[in-house]
Amino acid sequence: MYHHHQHQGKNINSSSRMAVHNERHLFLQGGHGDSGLMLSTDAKPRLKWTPDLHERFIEAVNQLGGADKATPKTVMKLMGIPGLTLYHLKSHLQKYRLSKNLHGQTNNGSTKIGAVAMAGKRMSEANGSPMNSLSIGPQANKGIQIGEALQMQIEVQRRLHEQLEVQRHLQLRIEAQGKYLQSVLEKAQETLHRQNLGTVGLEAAKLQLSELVSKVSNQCLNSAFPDLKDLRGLCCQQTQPNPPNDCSMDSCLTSCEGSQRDQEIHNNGMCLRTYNTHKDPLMHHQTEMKSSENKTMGNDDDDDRRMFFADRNCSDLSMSVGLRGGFSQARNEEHSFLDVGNKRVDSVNRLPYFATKLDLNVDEKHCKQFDLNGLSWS
Amino acid sequence: MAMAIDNAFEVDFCSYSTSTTTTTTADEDPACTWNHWGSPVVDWGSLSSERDEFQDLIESMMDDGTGFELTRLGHDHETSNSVSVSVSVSTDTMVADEETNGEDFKGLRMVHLLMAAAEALMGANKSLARVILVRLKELVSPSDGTNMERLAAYFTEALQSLLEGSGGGHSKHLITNGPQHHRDKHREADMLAAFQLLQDMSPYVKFGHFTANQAILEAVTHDRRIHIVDYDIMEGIQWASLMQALVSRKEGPPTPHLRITALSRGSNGWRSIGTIQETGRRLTTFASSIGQPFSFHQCRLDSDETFRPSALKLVRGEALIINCMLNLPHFSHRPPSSVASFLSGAKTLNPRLVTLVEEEAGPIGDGGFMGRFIDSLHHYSAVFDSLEAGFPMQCRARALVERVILGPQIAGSLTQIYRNRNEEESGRWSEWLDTMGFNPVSISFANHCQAKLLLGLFNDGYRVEELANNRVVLDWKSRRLLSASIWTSPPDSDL
Repeated sequence: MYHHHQHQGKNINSSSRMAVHNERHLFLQGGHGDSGLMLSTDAKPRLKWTPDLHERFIEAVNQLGGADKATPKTVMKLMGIPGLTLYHLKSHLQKYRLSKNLHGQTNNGSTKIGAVAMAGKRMSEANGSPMNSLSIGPQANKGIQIGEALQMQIEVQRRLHEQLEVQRHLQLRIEAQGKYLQSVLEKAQETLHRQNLGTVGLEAAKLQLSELVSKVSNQCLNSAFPDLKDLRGLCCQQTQPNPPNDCSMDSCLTSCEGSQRDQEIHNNGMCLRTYNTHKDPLMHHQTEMKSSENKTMGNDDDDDRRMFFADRNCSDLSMSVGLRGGFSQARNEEHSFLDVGNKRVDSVNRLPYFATKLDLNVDEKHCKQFDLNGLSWS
Repeated sequence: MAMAIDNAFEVDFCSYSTSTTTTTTADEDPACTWNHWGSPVVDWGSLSSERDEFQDLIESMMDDGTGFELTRLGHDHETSNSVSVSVSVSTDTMVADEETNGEDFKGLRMVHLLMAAAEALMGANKSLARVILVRLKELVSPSDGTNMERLAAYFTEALQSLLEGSGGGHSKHLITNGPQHHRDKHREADMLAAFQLLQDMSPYVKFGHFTANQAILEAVTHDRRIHIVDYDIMEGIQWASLMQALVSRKEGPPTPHLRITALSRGSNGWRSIGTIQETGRRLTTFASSIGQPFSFHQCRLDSDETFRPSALKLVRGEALIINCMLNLPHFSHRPPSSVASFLSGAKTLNPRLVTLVEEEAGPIGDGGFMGRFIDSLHHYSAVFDSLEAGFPMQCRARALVERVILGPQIAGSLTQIYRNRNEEESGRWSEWLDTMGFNPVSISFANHCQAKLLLGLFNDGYRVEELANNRVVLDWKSRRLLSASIWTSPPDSDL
């Protein structure tokens, strides 16, 4: 038996040295190659997770199908080490799972984060109870170990901070790409409709579209649809029969052989783009705010679902609006206005990522009731 | 033609018989004549293919249970039908289970038919192949049915083009057949719409772009001048986010000058929107809108798309980056010799960084055309599934993406496989870079982090897999899709 207080070193930081002085620990060590455990006998039963022991732990966990499938009980049984209790395993397993999450889904058994997290864990254990890894032996090693562990702890924190940075940058980069893609699209559209009938009304139509979309999106973003009537009124005011000289944006943008539906798909695609980029300032702002609040490392599935529905509904709005707006087709659009709003729900795209991250707090029902029938251009 | 045949086959084909007839038809192939139902009748005698087993197999595959039309019509919604395509290549072992799922069975049957057609094609047994393809076309349609069915439709189409020796790999049938003067513009617009949809629905494109861009950013932190040579710039979408990042970077000299040289070919590929000049203009406009100092150049490739490093204009003191995106959605398949010339030419320029993004092929098995064909089937099956999983209700949007982007990609892929069928396994370009002597560059924590975050925005079936220090792969479930790897020139070759 060794007594802990015999091991003092300059490398140990003062706090743990104090702890060493204050507490007495007896350590059991059964031979180096054994499955000996190092336990302390202070108030909290602390177990020293040597690399060896940890290896066995990981083996057992993997045999059981992974960190999420394994339970403390089964791991304990599988490891079959006397003296290893559920208590030890519970906390170790929890920390292991945490490190796995940080570590993400890569195939490698260990990444820096994982190792760091585990090391951090060991660090905290070291802090809490000065354990002696007697198997290591001389004092210097322990000091080094703690020093390393400290460094790793710092590393963990740095990494976490970096992750937040990455999130932020990712958002901006996705936006930039989206904007650029949108500009490519717009140029293509321009070329197309320059080639076809140049329309007087198209630019105006576009403008109106964007205004309307902005109104709609304001509603979307700011409220839980308190007053749909306003919007409805707005829409209704603009009823009018199909503009005669529509530039057939549809026909420009879609294949001739495509069905009506295909065209609507394109429209959907186009309009959503328009919707998104025109709404940039507001949405981005919201995005930034929300993302800094809500961002979690993993996916919150429920949130996503909810947001997704909200998005869909909003995009329904925009899509319908857009379709009314200027993209009516020359030939057979009599029915299109009415049909499109409701029927094509299933073909709505998901709004891109930054939009989906908005927590719109939308009441789904309200959204669905929103009816844009009859909206068109003057 | 496809449409016409489909209509004809709506007629009850239970009365299909294998009796040979002597009616001559427009189809001049003596071995494959048509009875008055319009169904193909095979004169097995004159087909010089393998004998009885195979023949029985084909017949059993061609023969139809009555249930088929009904089961297909009865499906209002799509079931996620990721038929496991892990069937053995040997067609001797056809499982004729009618049990389980009618859909699964149908999927399996289609796979077997596809494989049989591919084998027939390989064996230069064109008539047989044609017959099988006709049968396939009866069963599948690119616009409805399950994933497997639509996938099979595109593969059928691709095999059809191979059969007809069009060699261009462009699946014309499934794409716009409108009037000529509209076609290109519509195609462009279709392409753009579909591409945007794909961007939204899948992290595929962004994964490659962002991983490469992050690596580039990290490599040029302290540089004032950056020069990127882009092998296949298409619309230049990758560079928008890089510019944004450069403009807002905190370390190093602020807003470094960015110069992009795009390699240009005779044509930018029929799938890209506009020309390289237009891309240049757009990038310039975008750059000025965000305040990024920018200049754009072109470098012509030879007519056979060989790259000549001497044609590049280089400036002293600039950080040279080589960017090589291969076979991303809506890219054309470039001939391997061209890619090889580019990468080896790049080596002589001692670039600071080489970013390579390519499709990741799975295990080929015993190689050759069939192995790669099956692998390709796996690959696109995974892509289709990944789209469906994320957007199960948006079938029309997906159908558009499939039609405009994936269909042609499948065709191009098969053409490439077919062309290289007699060669050894071509392997990955990343391996090639390795043997060429490029050094791997570790992918940073931030880069990994970004990739995972990106995937987190999409369906959780996507994963990032770290196959090497310098290589990450985008997976869908267990299938590897896209690989991004980062390299640099070996240090001693500097100076």
